[in-house]
Amino acid sequence: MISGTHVILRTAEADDAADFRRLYYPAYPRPALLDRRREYPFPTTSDLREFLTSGPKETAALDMLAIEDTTGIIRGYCAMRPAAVELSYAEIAIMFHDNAECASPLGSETLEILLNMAFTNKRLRKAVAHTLDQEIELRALMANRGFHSGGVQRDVIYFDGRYHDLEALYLFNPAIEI
Amino acid sequence: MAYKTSVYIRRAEREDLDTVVQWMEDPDFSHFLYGEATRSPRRVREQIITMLGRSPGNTVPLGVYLIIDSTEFGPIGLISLNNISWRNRSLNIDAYVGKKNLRSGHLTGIGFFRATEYAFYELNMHRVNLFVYSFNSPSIRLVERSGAVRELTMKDHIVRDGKFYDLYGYGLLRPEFDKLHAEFMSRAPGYDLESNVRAWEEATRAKETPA
Repeated sequence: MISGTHVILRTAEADDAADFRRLYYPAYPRPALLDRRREYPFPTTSDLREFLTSGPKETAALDMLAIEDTTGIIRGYCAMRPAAVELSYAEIAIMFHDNAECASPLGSETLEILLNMAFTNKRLRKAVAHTLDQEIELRALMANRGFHSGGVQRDVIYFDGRYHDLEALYLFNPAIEI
Repeated sequence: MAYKTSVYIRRAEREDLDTVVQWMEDPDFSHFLYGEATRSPRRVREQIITMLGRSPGNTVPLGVYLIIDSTEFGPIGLISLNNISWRNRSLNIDAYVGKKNLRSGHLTGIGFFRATEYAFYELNMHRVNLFVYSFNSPSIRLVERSGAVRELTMKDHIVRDGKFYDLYGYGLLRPEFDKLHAEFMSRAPGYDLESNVRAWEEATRAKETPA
């Protein structure tokens, strides 16, 4: 468990499955929850219970952390997963039930904790995140922290009757010489 | 007059196993694409058998493996259409040209064009994804000539021989390919996939029929 001024991050557990399911229904496809074909699963609560117990399997989903506020209410989930050893970068994901939280201290502190885990604890070179075209608040959070855009992949995900774009963002570890 | 070419794409068969194993064992394969240099020949062979094995008729395939073949040179390379998403109508194309002297030649370009045509006009895809490393200039040239747009540049994303290189992500959308295809067809009628399949059938028949 990591305690900050505004948030507490802890491993998401099987008991969080019902709350975690709110990220899938009736929301939109979160990039971190897509599989490697960029398809969006529609899991049941018991699927998610199993997922949170045993960790990710085929999907590109990451080991999840629950984001709690200081009163103990879960406001969303986040993850930091190191990619292959030789690549030395981390994939970062932040998913609030309400995207507006990204603009609040909860958002910035969560991101700071994840970057600290990646850059200071794991000594990784780079953090990579993906945002969907409609995740304006999340993109702003990343950009304000210094993330650079790697580009926008057009028409990657189909839902709600139309195609959506996906942007890749990255930030190098300032402590490691490039 | 129809444009004739000696290059075809076809499904990879069990008979191609030895050729594909030979290509995948080449250090160039893991350098330009993926895979570990330490893989044993047996592991490579097992992997290819899984790749070439047909999926049961009632399941949706997640990958299609094609051989770029030529009546003149024999099998030239392997094209993998993988991560096929039927919901997003997208897939990734990976290509490896085993015949090194043909890597920068137009035969490779034709094979790649055929595979793209197959993805859009047979599999009815909306988007094709292509990923190329920054040191692979022949592939960059090939991909950009095919009309794909460079959408992603991930700085220092992969390591080869102890050095970091950028990863380029390209995307080709159906309307863009339609435009390119129409332009090709107006310049070289009979260059389309259908004519290609017919020509391949004729060539095969001629080979099988004793003189």
